Amino acid sequence: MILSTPYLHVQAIRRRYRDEGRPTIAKPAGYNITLNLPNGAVGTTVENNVPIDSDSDFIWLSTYYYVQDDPWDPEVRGNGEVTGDVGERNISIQILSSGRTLSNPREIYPAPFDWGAQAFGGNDTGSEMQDGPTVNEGEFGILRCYLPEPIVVKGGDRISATIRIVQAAAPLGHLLLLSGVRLFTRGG
Amino acid sequence: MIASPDLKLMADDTARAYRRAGFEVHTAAFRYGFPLAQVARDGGGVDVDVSVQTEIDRDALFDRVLPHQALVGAADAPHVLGFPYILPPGARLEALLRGSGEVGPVRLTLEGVKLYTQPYTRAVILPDVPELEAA
Repeated sequence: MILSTPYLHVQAIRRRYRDEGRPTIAKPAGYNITLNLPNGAVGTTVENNVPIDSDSDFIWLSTYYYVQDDPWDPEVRGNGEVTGDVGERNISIQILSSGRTLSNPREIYPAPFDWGAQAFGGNDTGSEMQDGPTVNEGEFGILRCYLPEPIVVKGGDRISATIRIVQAAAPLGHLLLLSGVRLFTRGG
Repeated sequence: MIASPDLKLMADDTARAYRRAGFEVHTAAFRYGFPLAQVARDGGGVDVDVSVQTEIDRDALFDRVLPHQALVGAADAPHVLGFPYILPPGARLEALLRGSGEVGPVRLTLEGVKLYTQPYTRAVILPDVPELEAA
């Protein structure tokens, strides 16, 4: 039996860095991308991006996708709820330096990134998680999906995310948390 | 004479000393700021000591408010860190909780593994990179 876990992936990547003459120190971390929609009209598209700290590479392991009716703002107390059907939408995430793009299954390009494969649905407040609908259907508060294989994003790069409304929907607040590990290197 | 080269020389020598002792070291220039202090005088116009404090060794895993599900997951699907975050004995943690209109107590629990060492140490040692097993 071959055991594959996010942690073992991280250690394998650290081994590769070490064999290249770049020992590493690792620390769990995450990067947020906020995608607040001005409205829920079909065709509405929003893009946003986040810089990766230049002093470390980022091993991207998993992605949390959070939705709420109100636009997301950590400084403003939001309602934290989804009160209706979310509606179908397309989400893509792109690593700007390489152009590599990951998309939900409904996108044009085939991708190794399957939102639905390990999705956890939620009720309309997002406070309970249960196996349930995919990103394109029904009500949910949050999804978490592990990448089939971690992606190493170089320090100083940028990750961009785009959301496009396919089916009219009410929720305006969308937040992606890219969760993983920062690798600090010396030398190389 | 330029003073700044000493900063790098001292940092390099210190890091080298830790590495000789078996530690893996990463260095980065950093600053810790003290709060603004207002010079004070007593009733007789004599300067009095003013104490200000700062803190070091504070680290943040997630420095912005996030939906709680993104940080902790759920009971049957807890969020597991991608790499262990090791806390020495006596470490203190602070969590910032911001409500969304709901009223009620919040219980936050960290799950992990406790390390008992002999001899006692407060050193934080990260996991080594494992070697590949022979085929």
